[in-house]
Amino acid sequence: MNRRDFIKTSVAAGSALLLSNPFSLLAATESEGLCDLVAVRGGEPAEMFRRGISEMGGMGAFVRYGQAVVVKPNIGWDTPPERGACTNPELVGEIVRQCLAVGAGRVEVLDHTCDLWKNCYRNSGIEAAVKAAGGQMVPGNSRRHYTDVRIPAGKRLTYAKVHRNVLEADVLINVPVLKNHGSTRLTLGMKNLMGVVWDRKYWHRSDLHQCIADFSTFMKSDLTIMDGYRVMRTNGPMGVSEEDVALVKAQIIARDPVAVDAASAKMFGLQPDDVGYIPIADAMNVGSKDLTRLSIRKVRIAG
Amino acid sequence: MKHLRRVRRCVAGAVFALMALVFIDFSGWIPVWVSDALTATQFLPALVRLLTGGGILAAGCLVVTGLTLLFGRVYCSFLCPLGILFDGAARLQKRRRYRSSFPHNHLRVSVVMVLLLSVIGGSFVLVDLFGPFSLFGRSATLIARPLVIVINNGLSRILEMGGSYSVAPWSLKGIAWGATALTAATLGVLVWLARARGRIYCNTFCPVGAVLGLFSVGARFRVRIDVSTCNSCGGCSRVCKAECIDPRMKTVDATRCVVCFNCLGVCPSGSLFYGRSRQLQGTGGGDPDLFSSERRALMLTAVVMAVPGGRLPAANAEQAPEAKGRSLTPVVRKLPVTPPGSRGIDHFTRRCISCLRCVSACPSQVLQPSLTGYGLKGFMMPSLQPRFGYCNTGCTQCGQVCPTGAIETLPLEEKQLTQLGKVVFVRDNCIVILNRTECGACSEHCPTKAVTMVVEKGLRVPVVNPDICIGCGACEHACPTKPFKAIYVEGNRVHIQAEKPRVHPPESLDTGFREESDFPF
Repeated sequence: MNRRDFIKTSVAAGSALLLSNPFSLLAATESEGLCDLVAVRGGEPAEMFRRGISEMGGMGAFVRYGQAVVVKPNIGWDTPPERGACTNPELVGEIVRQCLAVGAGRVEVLDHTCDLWKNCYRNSGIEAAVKAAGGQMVPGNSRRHYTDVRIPAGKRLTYAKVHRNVLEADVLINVPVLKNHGSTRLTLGMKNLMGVVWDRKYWHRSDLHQCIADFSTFMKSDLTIMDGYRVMRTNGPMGVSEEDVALVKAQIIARDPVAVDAASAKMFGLQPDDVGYIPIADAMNVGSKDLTRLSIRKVRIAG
Repeated sequence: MKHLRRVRRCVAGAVFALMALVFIDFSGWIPVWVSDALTATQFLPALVRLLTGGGILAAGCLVVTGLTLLFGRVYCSFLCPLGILFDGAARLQKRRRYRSSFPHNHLRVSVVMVLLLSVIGGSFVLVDLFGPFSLFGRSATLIARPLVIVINNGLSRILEMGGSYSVAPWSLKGIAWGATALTAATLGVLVWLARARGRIYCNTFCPVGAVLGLFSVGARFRVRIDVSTCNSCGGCSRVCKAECIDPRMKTVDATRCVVCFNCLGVCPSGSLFYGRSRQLQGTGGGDPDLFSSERRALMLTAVVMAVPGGRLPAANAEQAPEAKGRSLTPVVRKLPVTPPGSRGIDHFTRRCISCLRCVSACPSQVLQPSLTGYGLKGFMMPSLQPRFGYCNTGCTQCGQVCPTGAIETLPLEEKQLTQLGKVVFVRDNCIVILNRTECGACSEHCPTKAVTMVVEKGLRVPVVNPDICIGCGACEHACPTKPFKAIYVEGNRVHIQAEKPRVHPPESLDTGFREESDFPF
């Protein structure tokens, strides 16, 4: 072929190569790393998380080498795991383990508990699981650990005292438990973030739903993992006995906190709009409650 | 004989340190049996327990009585934490010289008369206020304990700067300022008295000192002066902190001697000894006259002390006014909420000696001394005050450590059904009614769901079921309204058993939960 033909062919081939990224071609066929939300049913919490996070691109997609990570489960109540009031300890332990496995510098776990904090940390089983996994439990019930922050987009909540370890962390992983709540109907991911502030009473007397949404405009978690292994059907958020709990064996993982809460509401049996703060947060652009626009991966584990 | 003083100081030091530790221990590190064993040695609590119920822990009172009858007031130097504190305070004073003083029997008799009158009037408050264990307990709980917590938190802060969370910070939320100030002032006066006049308190106002003094009159073993070798130099009386040695008469007043052995090694002629009487020409001026005014005073005090168990029912039986027509704001609790195991206000106030051991043991700090809640008869006795915390469902600490049995040890299942008081909802103070926004903090914290949320005009309002309420105060503690609470606990005069919480809610409380085996999206 002559020189002109050679140049034309090369440019055509080169731009074809550039424009159609072979890696994304590969990705498109295997659907790897493209999903927005993973839902897992069946299995045990640790295994469910391992399967789920791999669909999201692996823990390494969220935690880089040497980073400081804060894992925020629900440790609010002095109850054992079977009561379903706190996050499943096995799940929390596995998350800590995965973070350390991809090279996190330190992994801290904390909550500003409602009941006596030492009892909550111990009796929920989370302290033991975190220690076994190599993480560090941090107290959350002393006022001196909290720093003032402003919440510029807040309508009712314009400033708050937030736990300084959360503010200083590179990565925030929110691990709420899916359960009924007496006044907000469900307590999910965005409400779980109440546990990183000092003055919760202010939220309760100043339009609770609005404050929950306001805070989520400020506090951006990098990843939310909804623990639906045991779901408290009624008498939430503390429950009265084990009979309030159903063994649902579900887990939902996503970056978008509104999407996780919307999907979790549906998993419970309600609609996203039934939980007051979800549509408010959606309207404030914290995220999107419209699940039809998301790419959702569904994983079923036997057992 | 010199070793006796050393022994006394070792034992007293150990007893004081342990007793202080038991009260100061804020994290629950010291086992309950250690606390119980220590407080069982204390005379007044054990006496109250003996006269109001008995049991093995009341034996301490009899043991101390027996010891005193034989050996004199060894209790005052070896076991009484307030006395040991006095000794410590006095030691800090250099160049101390005591003088033998008069027995002040007029004062002792007056004190006894006032005590007796108040007792007949139905109030044991003076016995509680002057009892040495109670005074020590209040000082340790309200002053020493918070100070140690502050030190702990300072240490925690320093360690955290270095990246270590090994020392946990402790919340200092439960401070009853009025009671603390009063206790600090009292302690200040007592320590000043000790530095000026040694054991003067023990020989004037202390009811235990008066009774044990009476028991020591005929003690076999006592500090005695050998009159044949004594030359009245007065060296012994200068070191006697009880001011009970008269060098001119060569007598040691056994009813005031606290058996500290300080005098034994001081005598240049070795005339002082501790033991049985020898067949010498009189041992120190002869035994006191059987019907001396001193003895009379002491006997009266003994009567006063014996009555704790038989508190006259008339004074305690007044009916609390019926709570008709709840006032909207402000909110006032009519009856104090007494701790679980106290059975009710009457049972509690007949036995409590205001030592605040329960306050020091309460992990949530909901138990605090009450200045006016019980009226004059219960000055400084503790009650549940939910602005500081709430009663933990899994906890029975107060009943386990109470030295007199005012708070009985309940098995956990019984405690979880014991109704200390009933929940009262003040609708007009509620956020949901006032602001038309969601709250639900009360129901959130209720362990039995005596407070539930019910839909009313699109929002969730609290609805209370007092029959299943156990009066723990969690709702009151959580309620965020200002200035007055929208929900609180009204104390039960007598504790009753609550009904069991509902486990299967009726259909009307449909929360929307649906069992779903697939993915609903």
